[in-house]
Amino acid sequence: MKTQTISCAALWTIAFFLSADFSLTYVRPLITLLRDQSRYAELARTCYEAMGNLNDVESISTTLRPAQFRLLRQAAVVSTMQCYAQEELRRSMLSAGVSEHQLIRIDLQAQLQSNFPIPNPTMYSRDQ
Amino acid sequence: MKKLVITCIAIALISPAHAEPDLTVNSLLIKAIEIFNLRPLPTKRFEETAKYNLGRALFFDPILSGNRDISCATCHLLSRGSSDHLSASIGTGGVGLAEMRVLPSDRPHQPRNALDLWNRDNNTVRTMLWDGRVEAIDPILRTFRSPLGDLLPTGLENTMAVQVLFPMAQDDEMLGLADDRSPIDLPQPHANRLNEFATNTKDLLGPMRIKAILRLIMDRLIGTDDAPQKPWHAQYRALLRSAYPTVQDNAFTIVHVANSIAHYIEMTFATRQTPWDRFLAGDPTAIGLQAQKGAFLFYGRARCVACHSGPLLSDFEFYSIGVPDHGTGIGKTEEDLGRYLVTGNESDRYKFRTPPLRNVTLTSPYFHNGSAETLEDVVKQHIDPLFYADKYDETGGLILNPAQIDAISPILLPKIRLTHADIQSLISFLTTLEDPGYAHVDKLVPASVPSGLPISALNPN
Repeated sequence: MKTQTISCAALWTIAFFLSADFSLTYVRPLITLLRDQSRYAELARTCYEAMGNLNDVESISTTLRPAQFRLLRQAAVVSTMQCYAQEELRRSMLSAGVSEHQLIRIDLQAQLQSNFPIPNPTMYSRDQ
Repeated sequence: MKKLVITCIAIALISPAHAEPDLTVNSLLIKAIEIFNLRPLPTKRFEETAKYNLGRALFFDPILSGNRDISCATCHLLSRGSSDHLSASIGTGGVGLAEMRVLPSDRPHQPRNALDLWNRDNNTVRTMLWDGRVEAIDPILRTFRSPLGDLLPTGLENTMAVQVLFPMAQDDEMLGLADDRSPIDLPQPHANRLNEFATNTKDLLGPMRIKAILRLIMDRLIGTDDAPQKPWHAQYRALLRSAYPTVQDNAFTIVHVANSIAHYIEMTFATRQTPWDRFLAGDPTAIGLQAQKGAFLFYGRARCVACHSGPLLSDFEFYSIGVPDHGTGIGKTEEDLGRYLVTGNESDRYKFRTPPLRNVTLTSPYFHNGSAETLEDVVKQHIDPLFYADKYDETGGLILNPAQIDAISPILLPKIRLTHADIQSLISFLTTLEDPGYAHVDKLVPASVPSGLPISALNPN
């Protein structure tokens, strides 16, 4: 009975270390890649919208007080900071072996999902 | 095998790489904070002075109202974030407090939502009330514009002190109507007394009437040489003498009353140490990731900062965001013309002051007419100001008329694109502007007031 318990514990210990090794070798990089891709797509969408936002702000510049236009432009510039984060992630993903072709595909998909320049009916609507 | 898979997933999930996106949002927000040069609001020290004690008594004493049935504290409740949780406030004649307050059918209803009182002593507060009819022309020289015009007394210390004067002279707030009598269930000698403020001034108009009402208030508060003395006269004179020891006994005016009420408001309704202020002071754990995302949106893509700028998150300017009329409007007309009623400028039609946002989570409902119940409704109105432009009311007419559509601020016209998650993040950020913990709660509400009238107050906790 005692021998049985010891071998069961030993088996579980071996299984644990094997699983940890398996996780570190295969599962974690896969999850990281999937998560990075999802984050990259989100950043691509918000960056694209931020650029549109910057255009929008410029388009109403003449209707605003100078101080207010300055605030609004600062806000638009702040929103484009996501583009730097996207660029940083792009470099990190390229160095991790993701192909440029794959990143361009995600970029294009994000632009299609974005609300700019064509309003996207899947976004928030108070009629819903 | 099942256990093996669970172990693998657990190890993958607890791997440190998951902290990466959080740090990115944090660093972007810190850059935004640098760009806008945001600083925590200085913490106001609480001091219980003689002036504070006088202001507190006056803030809670219904003796200042025509019918002796309402005080400042009736609509600015400590337990409701210094507002009353009603769409439109209920003034003299109303019964009950906060959500339970009701108005008899023969009384006029107030047209607008009661504003909160937080941080009104801040130098950035240039305008008061939804239409800015009280405003500082030069806060240093203490010159103000108000409905009293040139009759505004000198010596008022700040914009809050000027604003304090007007609810007392407004018929649907504290004044009441000519020939009104006070409720019969009040303690003597207050029961069933003629409203002399409204009755004795009924033939006067505009600033002349307001000035006369304010003089009558002082007569009732501290008495006159030719009228019998009341028990509270001596008490208020003593409080005034303590608060203003250098002023002669016969020189107390409504200015001293207004300055001390404003002082009480400054001490009591000061946000101290909100999570956002702590974050700005350098504590990265003060607000969560969702609130950080919301702050980044607020100062970025959502464009909120264009109007909600400065330490109190308001520029104290006037805009229309397409809020439909709801209720009677000021002047009991069908529509509320907002700032136009003060300036007479066509371009000011339907515009209302940008509300400050500290403690905004405590002061629902929102907008000048209290038509938005939740902050989510408020954000949705901002990102979709034309929502009501093509909607019809129950009479078959369009909810927004063409002039109302034209008045909508150009800032909001280029579509602001926010997802549901974005809206929730913005609300999460607004929650970090909350400081519900009043300092020294036990010292905020007096046990009684000199007049002996009942106090309208709900416990702040």
